[in-house]
Amino acid sequence: MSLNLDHCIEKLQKCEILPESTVKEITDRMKELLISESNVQEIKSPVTVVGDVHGQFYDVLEIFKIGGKCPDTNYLFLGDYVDRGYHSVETISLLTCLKLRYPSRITLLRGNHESRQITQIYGFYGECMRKYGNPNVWRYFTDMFDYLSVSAIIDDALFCVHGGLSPSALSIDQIRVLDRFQEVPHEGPLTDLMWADPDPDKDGFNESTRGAGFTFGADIVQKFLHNNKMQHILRAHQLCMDGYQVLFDNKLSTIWSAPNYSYRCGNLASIMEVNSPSERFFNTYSSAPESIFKPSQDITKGLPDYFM
Amino acid sequence: MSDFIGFLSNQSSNEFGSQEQYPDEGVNDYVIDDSLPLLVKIQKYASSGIVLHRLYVVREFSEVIQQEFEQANAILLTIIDELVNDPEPVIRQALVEQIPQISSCFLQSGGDEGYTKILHSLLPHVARLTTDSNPQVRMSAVEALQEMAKLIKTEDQETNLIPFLKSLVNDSTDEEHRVQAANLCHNLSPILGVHLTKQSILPFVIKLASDSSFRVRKAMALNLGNICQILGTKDTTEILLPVYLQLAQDEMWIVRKGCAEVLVIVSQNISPIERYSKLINVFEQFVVEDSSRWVNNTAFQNLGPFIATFDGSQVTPKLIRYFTDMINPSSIKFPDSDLITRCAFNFPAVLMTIGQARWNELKDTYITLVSDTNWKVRRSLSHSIHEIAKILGQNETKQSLLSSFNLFLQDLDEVKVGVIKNFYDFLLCLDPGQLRESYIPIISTIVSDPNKWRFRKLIAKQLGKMCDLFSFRIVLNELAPFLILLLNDSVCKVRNYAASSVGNLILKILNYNIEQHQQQQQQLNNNSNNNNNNSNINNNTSSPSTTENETQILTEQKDQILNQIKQLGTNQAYYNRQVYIKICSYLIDQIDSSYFEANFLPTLLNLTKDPVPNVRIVIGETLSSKISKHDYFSSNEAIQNALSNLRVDNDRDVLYFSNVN
Repeated sequence: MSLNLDHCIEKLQKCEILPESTVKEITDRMKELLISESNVQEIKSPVTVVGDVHGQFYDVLEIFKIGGKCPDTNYLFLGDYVDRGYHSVETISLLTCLKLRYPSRITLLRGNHESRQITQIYGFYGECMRKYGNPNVWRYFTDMFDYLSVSAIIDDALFCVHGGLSPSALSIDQIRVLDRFQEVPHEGPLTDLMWADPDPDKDGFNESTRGAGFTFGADIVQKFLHNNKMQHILRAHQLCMDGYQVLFDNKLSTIWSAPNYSYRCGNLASIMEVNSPSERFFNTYSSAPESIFKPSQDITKGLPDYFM
Repeated sequence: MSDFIGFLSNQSSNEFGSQEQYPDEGVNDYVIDDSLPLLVKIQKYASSGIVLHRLYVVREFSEVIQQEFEQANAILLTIIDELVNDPEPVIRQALVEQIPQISSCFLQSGGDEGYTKILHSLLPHVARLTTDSNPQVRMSAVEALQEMAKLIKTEDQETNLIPFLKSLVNDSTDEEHRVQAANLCHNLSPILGVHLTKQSILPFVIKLASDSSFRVRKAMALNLGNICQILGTKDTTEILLPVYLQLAQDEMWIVRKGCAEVLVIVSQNISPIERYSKLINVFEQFVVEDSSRWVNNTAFQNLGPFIATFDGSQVTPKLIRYFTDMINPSSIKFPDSDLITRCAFNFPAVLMTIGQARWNELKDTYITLVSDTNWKVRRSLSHSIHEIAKILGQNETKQSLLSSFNLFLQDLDEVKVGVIKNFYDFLLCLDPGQLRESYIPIISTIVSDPNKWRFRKLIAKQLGKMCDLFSFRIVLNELAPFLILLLNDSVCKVRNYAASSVGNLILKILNYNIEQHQQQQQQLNNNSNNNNNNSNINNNTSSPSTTENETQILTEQKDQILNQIKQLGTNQAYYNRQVYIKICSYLIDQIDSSYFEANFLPTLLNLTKDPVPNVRIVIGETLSSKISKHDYFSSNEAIQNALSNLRVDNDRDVLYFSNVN
């Protein structure tokens, strides 16, 4: 039987997992699709940009309710699909199926959590073991993560990446020629792109307290944009209580898309709707009701059941 | 802000700091070699010493049999013969859950021989597992047996299912087997049908109901439901009711509790006379005489639904008093807060049963429930207040419900949602005019609250219908601006629901005859002039110009609203243009076709050349699956041309959606 992606998407939207053999098939096909993608994906507006979602599946469904369903709306996800939330498996399965079904409508970048080492500590590995009873599904997805692209450019003007900038890849052309098909290394330009954070108080590149990547200051952003003829940097990777944060005289935006992060931080989330490089709108939202309560499936027709 | 970034940085500092060694050894132990073909994998791991391996392959059984029936069926049967005796319950359970699907494949692809395999190998396995030593396995097996029974030809049911059931009923060695027999009587009767149920199942029921073990009697009491429904009123009244009445007097409370749980379904399936003369007594005995709080509570929990099985005139005031006592801790033996929730939940059903004329018997209870401190009680009531209003009618709604409705509007979101969801239905039960109009400011607050998109969505959905509830002036000055606001909402779902409401607004606008309105106004003015002879001259000169002015204003407003809607189709933001398409996809079934053709179609068809593919996706889907199929437009050349252009679009998603049927 051939793979029916519409059927898989429908199933996943009900928060049901796919059979292991189907996960194998979609991840294999995803690798074939991603291998031809560049390290710097070229994207046209309109597009809606999404930050970290971390397995908060019902909040991902909320994104599609607010921003519009795929393929009616184009999406660029900046990474960190898995870990910490209850539904990393469903989340990454759904995004993978959507990418396979509508490859030109959705772009997925790699975040620092799309890594074998990190997912073993922060939840995805354990969730795969719980839901499938063996580590195969974890292996399929983490193998697939090695193929995800690491950055994107919208309308030749907005540079998009999960973490930030790297001192060893200061031009976009340098990023284009990196060998990305590997586990996220401990150091080097790939790692920096996924791990770095902006620092509004300190110029230059400085050591990061995260233990990987750097912090980068206003001067670095200014130079990077100028040298690469870009207008703005879009990135994720850091929790923002309002769902977003704009820094460096409106040269860099952080987008955070996991409301009430880890089901306890109480923060808002946002997605950024880009209509053109200069028309950017942060659409903010709070956590989906189903995130806290168990979803109810009882859609009764006709008389409500208090009438029996 | 930086605090929180600091918080994340601190927390994340150990993401790399605490790098653990990659647990290679643990991982490799469990790894399944998935380079192997599915069937080979199953053969290799079905006898693995690792439970997870066996579990893994068992779950693939239905997959492999679907994919390669010819190669797999004999091999699978041999493996199943082994695994039904697996020492691990989890394997036996997973297996029994797979067997119905496997059997379906045998039926579809295996021909007569396949069917024989079901009867003689697969069905007996499932039947045996219904009496497994593990309760989870038993539960899954009972469900599986039900599925299996559906696959068996009617003429084979008697010989292949009944003897097995009979052996369970007569199994005096293990009461658990007889408990399962009671479960199966209930589960199988819908599949076996009236004839076999009456002929074969009924004698089992009678026997099990007087079993020496109370666990069997309890199981039989609990499992009377399907059997009543299959047998129908006559046989239930004549044969099963005496069995039920006997069980209801059982010396063990747990058997009587079982009876209290099936009271409603038994009541639904017996004659009105017996219901009135016998079952009210049974209920009273449960709540008044019975010494068990569980029997008492269960009976009360089912009182609302029980009352709803009666014809209104048969419901005694005493029965209603039991119902209203549920919220009164001092008047019942074993008060329980859950009973208050039940009372609130079943309230509309009880009122509907006894009717508006007996509202007095329930009114005080309703007023008390509305101010209950438990929000779940209020939530239940806020979701049903419109139903109560429908039953009570306009006068009584105004008298008795208005203050409750207003309270709910101020309540927690979980409560408030109920009244917002059914706002239209409640307004419909209020006097037209001032009283209804007093709710316009509330609707206005809801549609302009940026933090509650679900509430905005609920109003967006109802605004179309609401146009029928108000005067033309209110529709133009209030409702239309609300709708336009919601068509431009930041949340896609809200915009799409608002699109569905546009049709009714347009109908209202188009059907409203402004000249008629003018005449009415003139008449009103003339009347007042005649009564007011003193100012006669003044009025005679000013009133025509006032109405002329007003007519002009109304006409301008009307055109302005229509233009605002149409302008969505040429708006700069692509999602506005998508909303325009959604509006059209509804309008085509809501308004006059020639009006649509003249006023909406040209802009719509322009969107087939939109530079944004996402707009072309939506128009492609709407044209191909909806508009081109519409009677009036099916042979419209402009639409056909537009569609053919989309069908050679250079975007693969546009192509796909313009070919959807």
